[in-house]
Amino acid sequence: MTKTAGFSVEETLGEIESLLSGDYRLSKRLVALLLLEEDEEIEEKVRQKEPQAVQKIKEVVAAFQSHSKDFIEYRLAVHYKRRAAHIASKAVRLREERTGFRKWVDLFLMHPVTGGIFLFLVLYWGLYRFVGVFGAGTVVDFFEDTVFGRYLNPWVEAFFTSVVPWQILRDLFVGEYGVVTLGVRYAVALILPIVTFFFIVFSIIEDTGYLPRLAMLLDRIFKKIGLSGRAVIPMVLGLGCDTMATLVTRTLPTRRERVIATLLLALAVPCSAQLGVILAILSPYPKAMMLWAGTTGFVFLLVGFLAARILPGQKPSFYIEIPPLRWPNVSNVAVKTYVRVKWYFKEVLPLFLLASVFIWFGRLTGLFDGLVNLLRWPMEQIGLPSKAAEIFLFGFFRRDYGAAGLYHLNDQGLLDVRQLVVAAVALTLFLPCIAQFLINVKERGWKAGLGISAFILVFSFGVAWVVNFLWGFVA
Amino acid sequence: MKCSLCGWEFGEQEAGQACGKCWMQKGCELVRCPQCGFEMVLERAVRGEAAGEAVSLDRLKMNEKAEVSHVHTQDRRSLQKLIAMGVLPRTPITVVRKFPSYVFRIDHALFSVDKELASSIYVKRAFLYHPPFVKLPLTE
Repeated sequence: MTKTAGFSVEETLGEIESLLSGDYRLSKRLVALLLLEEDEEIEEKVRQKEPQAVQKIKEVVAAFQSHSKDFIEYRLAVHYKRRAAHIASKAVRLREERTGFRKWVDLFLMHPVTGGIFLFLVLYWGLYRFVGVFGAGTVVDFFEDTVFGRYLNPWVEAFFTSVVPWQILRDLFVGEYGVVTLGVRYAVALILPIVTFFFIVFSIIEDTGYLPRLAMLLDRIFKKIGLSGRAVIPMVLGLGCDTMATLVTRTLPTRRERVIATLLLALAVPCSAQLGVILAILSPYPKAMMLWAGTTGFVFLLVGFLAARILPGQKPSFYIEIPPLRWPNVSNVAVKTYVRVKWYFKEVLPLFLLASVFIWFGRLTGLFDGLVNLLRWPMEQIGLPSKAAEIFLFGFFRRDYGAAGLYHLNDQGLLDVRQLVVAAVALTLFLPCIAQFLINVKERGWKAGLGISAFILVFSFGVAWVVNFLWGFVA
Repeated sequence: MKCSLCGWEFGEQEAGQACGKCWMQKGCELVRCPQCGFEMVLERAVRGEAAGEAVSLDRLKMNEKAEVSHVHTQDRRSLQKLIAMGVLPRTPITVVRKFPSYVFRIDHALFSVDKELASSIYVKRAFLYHPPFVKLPLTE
């Protein structure tokens, strides 16, 4: 190995080795090497076993460092690389890469213009057409009207009527907010298909290797809101389930980035259930849809921009490996979708059932009506009927539960276009569901978790009020 | 402009004289140093970049062949990231995209980084060398 002013790597390693006496279940050379790289874990172990050696070793490392302006790990990496290249040259023979089609597609995807067009097509066909119109429209209609409406609900109602003599207890199972007629139906007929369709699309996108390319395309924009392109992955996942995505923010390197990502996920990223329902409801009114998407997007960028200005800390730096493009593997996609839907369903079903029980109990004691009354005033302020108060209350239990409520309110023809847009905006921005709130607190701590929720509560109604107010001028 | 071999500074007119009676002068993208007769790409002469001088990655042209010279950064975490990507001396590197982010191919892997990281990577361009046909006498 090369010498640097009399201080070769080998000599330094030998010196450190001679200072070590304990047994670390690793070769001494490796321990010495890790100490030279200032590995904190191994340093702690040595400190425990032989504290007297640590100081001396540190001196040796410092002496080695002082003889070059480069960092130690860089100098070592140069050595490793040379060795590795030497070994590889004996063992590996490389053929000229066959390029062509794949490379061409790659350049197309990473070009700011063609890549942007492709992104739009993915969003339009994958999200809007497949998840929104087909999943949340056609498939949900089939489950709702035919499977539950025509067969299951009447049968279950008849069954409970004949078995349970008390009206109050019957209400718990098959009433307007019954465990079976509302809880199970929302979970199985409405949310399950939407989430499944979303995760099919997401798994396909993930399997092709498109996400790192998207990260590369969006890094510049994300830098403006205090995030790096890496945050694209939790953000896109958030379109599936914000709770899951909040967990994934762990992959972001700094606390500042994690806080901003958590805030934006809770505020302006709709989950697949909300997204599906909103896309389905607004699909007959393209202008209303654009207004909803525009408002949400604007809020996302504005709040991110302000958060990046306010929060202290280092600017993010961006790097990501771009794997080769591949055709999605059918079994991969199937397994990933299955596992995610299972995770989601396991979490969602008990909460839906619990929510039904809570509502039943709340109605029995008058607590539910009290809370709805409390929400009635803000509802009126943003121009929504007082019945909409229910969906916001539900929405706090589960975002998707609220979205499902909105779906039914619309089904009954209780909302006009203006109210639909306002409700969609407010519900998208409104407080995250209980599960996400708990994860926020767990991941970010009480202060940040509660702060984010308080901000969102005020801000979501504020934006809805503005949209409702401005509609008068536009329409 | 400045000769990338001998460092002589000269003007456009002098460069024209150096080319003498060469019949390919029209539309030629090369310039010749009046001092040593070395031919170089016009752009490089204007930049005044010496031959074999390391430049930061963001100054490479797309698909231009180069190899890593060294990494220059004071931020240890950035350095560790670059090491993990295999950005080490004498590794061949090409820039594939510059906008919206930098994408480079190193060895057989593809990475995307932001401008800050890209500008801490220093590379040497694959040298474009045109041996002069006629040796001009050195000017006094």
